[in-house]
Amino acid sequence: MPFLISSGITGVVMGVTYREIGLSLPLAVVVSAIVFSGTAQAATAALWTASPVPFLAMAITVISINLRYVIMGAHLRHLFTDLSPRRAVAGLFLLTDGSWAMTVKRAAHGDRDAGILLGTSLPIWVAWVAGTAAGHTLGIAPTGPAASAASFLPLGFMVAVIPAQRGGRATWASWITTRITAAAALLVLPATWATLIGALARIAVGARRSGEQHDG
Amino acid sequence: LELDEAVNSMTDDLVALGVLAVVTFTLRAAGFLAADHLPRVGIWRRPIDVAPGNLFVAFGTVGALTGGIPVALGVACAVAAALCWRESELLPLAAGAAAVATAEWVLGL
Repeated sequence: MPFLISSGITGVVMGVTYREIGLSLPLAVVVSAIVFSGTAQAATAALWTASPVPFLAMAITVISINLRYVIMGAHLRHLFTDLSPRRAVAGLFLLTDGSWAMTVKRAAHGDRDAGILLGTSLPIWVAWVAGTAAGHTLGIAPTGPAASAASFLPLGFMVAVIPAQRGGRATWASWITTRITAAAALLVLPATWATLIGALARIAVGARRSGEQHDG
Repeated sequence: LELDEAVNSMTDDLVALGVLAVVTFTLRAAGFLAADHLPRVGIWRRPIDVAPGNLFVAFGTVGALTGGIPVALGVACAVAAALCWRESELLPLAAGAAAVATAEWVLGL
C-alpha cells in the first residue's frame, strides 16, 4: 500500500511533466507503461524536447541511473534458483526498487516466493500508469507536506528494512564502508552513481575477502 | 511539409520510446541472466548475498544527503524506529513519513 500511494503520486508528477514538455497523453501513458522507471523518465524528460532528440544521451542517462538493477537482478537469481528465465521475464519487466526491497525482506524471513515480486510490482505499475494519465489530464501535481511524505515512502521502506539485513558485527563494518564511500562519491558524482559506488565498494571488498577464504 | 514534420516527430518519439524501454529492460534482465553464468559459491556468492543491505544503506545515505533536512530527519526516524520494531516495516515507515511531513511543515520548506 505505501508503494501504491507513492507510485501514484509520483506518476501524477510525471504526467504533469510530460504535459508541460508537450508529450501527448497517449504517448505519456505508453512511455510510463513500457519504460516504468520514475527516475529514468524524470531524468530524460527534458531530452524529448531537443531537436534532434539525443538518443545516445538518453541511453547513457538511463544506464547511469538504472545500473543498480543489474545487482538487484543478480541477487534475485540467487534467491530464485529454480525459476526459469522465461517465467522471470514478467517479474523483471516490472522490477522496481520497492518490489525488490519487499521481496528481499520476505526472503530474509524465509519466504522465498517469486510471486511476491510480481504481486507487489503489478499494483505499483498500475498506480504509476494511472497516475501519469491523471497528471497529464489534470495538469496539477500534488504539493505540500503530505505529498513529500508520500514521496519519501520508497526510500523510507528501504531504510526501514536495513536492520532485518544485519548479519553480525561484520555487517556494521560493511555498512559503515558503504556509507563513507557513498558520501564521498556524492562530492564528485551524481546521486545515482554515488549510490551504486557506495554499494559496489563494499561488495568488491566482500568479493576479495570471500575469495581469500575460498582460496584458504 | 507539415506532414513530413509530423512524421519525423512521431518517428523521433517512437525511437526515443524504444531506446528508453530497451535499455531499461536490458538492465533489469541482465543481472538475473548473467548470474546464471557466475559460480554460485566462493568469490561471487557472498557479495551478491550481501548486496541488498549495502544497496539499502547506500540509498539511505545518498537520499538523506541530497533530499534536504526533512528527508534526512525522515531517514533518521525510520532507521531509529526500525531498530526498535524490527518485525514491522510499517511503523518505521510511518515514523519516517511523519517526520518528513512535520519537518517540512515546521520549516516551511
